[in-house]
Amino acid sequence: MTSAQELLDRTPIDLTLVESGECWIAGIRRAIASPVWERYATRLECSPQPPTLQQLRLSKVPTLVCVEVELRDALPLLQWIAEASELSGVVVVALCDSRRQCALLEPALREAGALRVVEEVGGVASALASVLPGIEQDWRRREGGLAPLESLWVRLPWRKHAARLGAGGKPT
Amino acid sequence: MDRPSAPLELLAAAASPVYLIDSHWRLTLVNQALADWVEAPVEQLVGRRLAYHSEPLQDGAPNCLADLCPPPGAWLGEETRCVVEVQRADRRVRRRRFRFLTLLTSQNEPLGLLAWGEPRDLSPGEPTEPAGGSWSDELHRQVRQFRRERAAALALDPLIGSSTAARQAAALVQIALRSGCDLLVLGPPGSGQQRVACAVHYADRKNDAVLWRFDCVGLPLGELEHLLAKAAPPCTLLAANIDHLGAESQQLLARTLDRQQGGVRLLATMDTHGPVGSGAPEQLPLDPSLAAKLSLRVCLPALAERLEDLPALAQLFVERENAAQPEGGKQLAGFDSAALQRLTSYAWPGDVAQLAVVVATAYATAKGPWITASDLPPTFRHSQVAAATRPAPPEPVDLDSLLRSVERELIDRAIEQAGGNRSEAARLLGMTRARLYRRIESFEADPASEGDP
Repeated sequence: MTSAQELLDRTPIDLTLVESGECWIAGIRRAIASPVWERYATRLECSPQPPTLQQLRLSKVPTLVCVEVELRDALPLLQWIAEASELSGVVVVALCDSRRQCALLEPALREAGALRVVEEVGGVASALASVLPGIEQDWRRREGGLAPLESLWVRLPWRKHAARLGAGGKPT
Repeated sequence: MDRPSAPLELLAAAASPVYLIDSHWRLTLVNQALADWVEAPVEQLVGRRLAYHSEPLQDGAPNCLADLCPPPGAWLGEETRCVVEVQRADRRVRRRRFRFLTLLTSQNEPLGLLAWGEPRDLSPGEPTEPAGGSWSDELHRQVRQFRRERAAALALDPLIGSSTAARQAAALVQIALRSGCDLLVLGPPGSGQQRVACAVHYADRKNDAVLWRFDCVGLPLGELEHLLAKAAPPCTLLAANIDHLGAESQQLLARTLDRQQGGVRLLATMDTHGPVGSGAPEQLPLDPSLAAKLSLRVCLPALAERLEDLPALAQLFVERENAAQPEGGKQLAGFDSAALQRLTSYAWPGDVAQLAVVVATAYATAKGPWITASDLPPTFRHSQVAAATRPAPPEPVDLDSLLRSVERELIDRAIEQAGGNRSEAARLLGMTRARLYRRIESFEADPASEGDP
């Protein structure tokens, strides 16, 4: 059971997994179940579509978007990553389902601004753990701009997914 | 006549151009016919790494290492065909159909690719697309289009303005552009350091290099090693928050740059939290060898220190929103004077990045043609009043009401999280179902306590 103090000490993170199937969700769940995530109030959502830039801009807490990369129709995804990763408080991690796809697209994904490129489900945990310090650093900076009540509100567990992601969002 | 019999000799002697690529994209076999076709000696080609994302050079020698890259589908285990184009020294383009065959291990992992070209070039005007199918490399085209768009879109926009600070920073960036040397971009958080560094990369018109961006916060040494191994020259490394690299990682980066002898350019960024001196290396938390490489430094000014540039920056972001609208969509002229006055009364702790978000939010609200003060977020609507008012004594908190609203919010969220199942919601909240029902009833009896501030 989470104590109130633990709740208040945690860094809130909205973690959105964008995938068409259920290829990566197991890796994500395993990752956030590891002890390193205990310091974070993580609210996980799955969606087949990436969040809009306006949704990301309005978010008051750091947002980590893990997005599945497909070879077909890569251009819109690259464009989205380029725009999303420029927003303050947004971190994008690209998930490629094989080394071959990564070899093809990794330079472009990094050029677009993906912070990590993950090649297999087993690599999700270490990649996500390695972006946490940056997220925490950003949150400490932004937290000062929140009103005390807002600061409390964003730490409460469980997201109001319907309001954030529209009907397409599903709780996990 | 003696004919070669060993498999490699057979390939080497074939009249059709043939080459073999290993799983690291290195050319491991090149026959004479291919060397003749690309006009490069065999010994210069074997062992070289193909750079899939390289743009053909604008000037200078042909870049056959990019031209010989296989289409993406070839690595997926399917036999693939495409037209390979190479540019000769006289700048004429030769086109030839190639087949790519994947060599797989028993675990279906790619060992390499065998590329086999037709014995003759395509004549000018001869279709490259077969009837009913595509020979084109769609992904390659998309990546190239993305790079072109990025190169066009990324300008030195964070430095737009006529303030002395902006002009000084822009002059230093111009030196970096002309010299092509390594560069450190410093600035307060949100001042656009990465954007400026990217713009420096793309502004180099001779640049055939791939841009490898990575953030040094939390980057393990092993991952940096892995990344540097993949970033073959020519390339530009953009290391964001370079001061977060550990000592060992910084030394590794410096050694790698030394080894590549100019084939790899380093652009680095760093947040500053206060004034930064013009730059004795020891003032920065960098390894001396790395600090020496990054001797050219640009310090971006804080937006709050150059508010005279704010109107131009705000207008730039409005134009960017206008450009992003679909055809026939909303087009706004800019900010009216009252709105601009509110913006210039603000302290901008989030710098240029915050301004971009505020403009986007106001743009979405505005009905046009001008963005007015009422379209700004509440913070800005009240900024002038706040600036002119003495700080009020701390407002007292109604603790009972606050705790009740938090409780209600948590119960609502738990029920939603549990998909409406109240037993599950009670479990999530660590209470009995009966107690949850009592709490809900008490809220229904007293609807005054609302959630979400």
